[in-house]
Amino acid sequence: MKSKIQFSKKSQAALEFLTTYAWAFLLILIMVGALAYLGVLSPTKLLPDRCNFGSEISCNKDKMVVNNLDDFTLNITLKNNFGSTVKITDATTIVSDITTLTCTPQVETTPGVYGDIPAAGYDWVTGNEIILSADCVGGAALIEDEKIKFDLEVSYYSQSAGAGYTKKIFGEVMTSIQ
Amino acid sequence: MRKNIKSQASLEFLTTYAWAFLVIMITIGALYYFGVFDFSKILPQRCFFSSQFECLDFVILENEVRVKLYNNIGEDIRIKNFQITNDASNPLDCETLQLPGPLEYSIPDLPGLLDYEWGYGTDLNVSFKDCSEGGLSIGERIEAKISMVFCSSATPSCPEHTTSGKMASIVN
Repeated sequence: MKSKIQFSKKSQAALEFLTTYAWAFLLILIMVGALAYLGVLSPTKLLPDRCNFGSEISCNKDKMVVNNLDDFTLNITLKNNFGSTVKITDATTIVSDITTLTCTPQVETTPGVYGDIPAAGYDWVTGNEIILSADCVGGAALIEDEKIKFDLEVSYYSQSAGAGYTKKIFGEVMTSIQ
Repeated sequence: MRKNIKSQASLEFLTTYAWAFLVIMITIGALYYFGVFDFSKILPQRCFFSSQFECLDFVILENEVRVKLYNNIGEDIRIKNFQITNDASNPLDCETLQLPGPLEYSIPDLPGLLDYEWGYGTDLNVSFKDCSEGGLSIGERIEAKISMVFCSSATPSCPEHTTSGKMASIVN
């Protein structure tokens, strides 16, 4: 009998707590909902621009741009830090968040002229900078000032070693859409 | 009584700061989920051998490991054995060794069978084929250890020496 009374007292306390503070819980939930709706809880806009390929390829975050255009959607400047001349044989650009965006990477074949990576490979002399560009179908629909992250994959081989030693290197670019 | 006071203090500590532990654990979990702690794709791909046998280049494929070495030891040598492994729980295991020629050997049969002449100042393309285990899956970063047994061609008794190297790369 005694334990039954004690149990009732406990549940009464819990119920009183809930009825007293339910409005506060509700208020907090509404506030969080409003903040999420207004994008305050989405910190991507606050994150800095970044470009990371590891130590073998350096990438200057001040020399990269993403435009809301189908042509030249992505433009980044990369520097060969391999310590030897390499041949780029292929590159892929993926935007994992926007699956509808299909991108085709290009390189500056002659100054000011961009084209597909040659089948025989694109020579990249050690210490030199190249501009890697990507035309993205659906790029015109990108929303200005939103952040976007590109995952890049570059296949290359050292010219001295030959095509039998083709490797891949991964990088990521995150910046605001212009 | 004294024991009760002690346990009360620890219980109070836990109830007061449990939310903080929880927040920290959720934060770490979220960071891990988003790959913040995954440095495998950012770390450089590297290959180390002794200066006597410089590693010029290498590549790790889904079922093959290739390495290009340079004979810098100062004399011609005879290779007597080549082995490859790694520290995975199921270590890297390759069945076939390919040397220029092209010559192919079964790796378990190499001791006593291999006698490959390698001239000073020349490159050597070594290929370990039919590889499995050792974490060989595309996109994963793995390490591979290579050991080579050799002797000097100029020494008739051919006393054997062992050198080893290590490579770390993403599986292509």
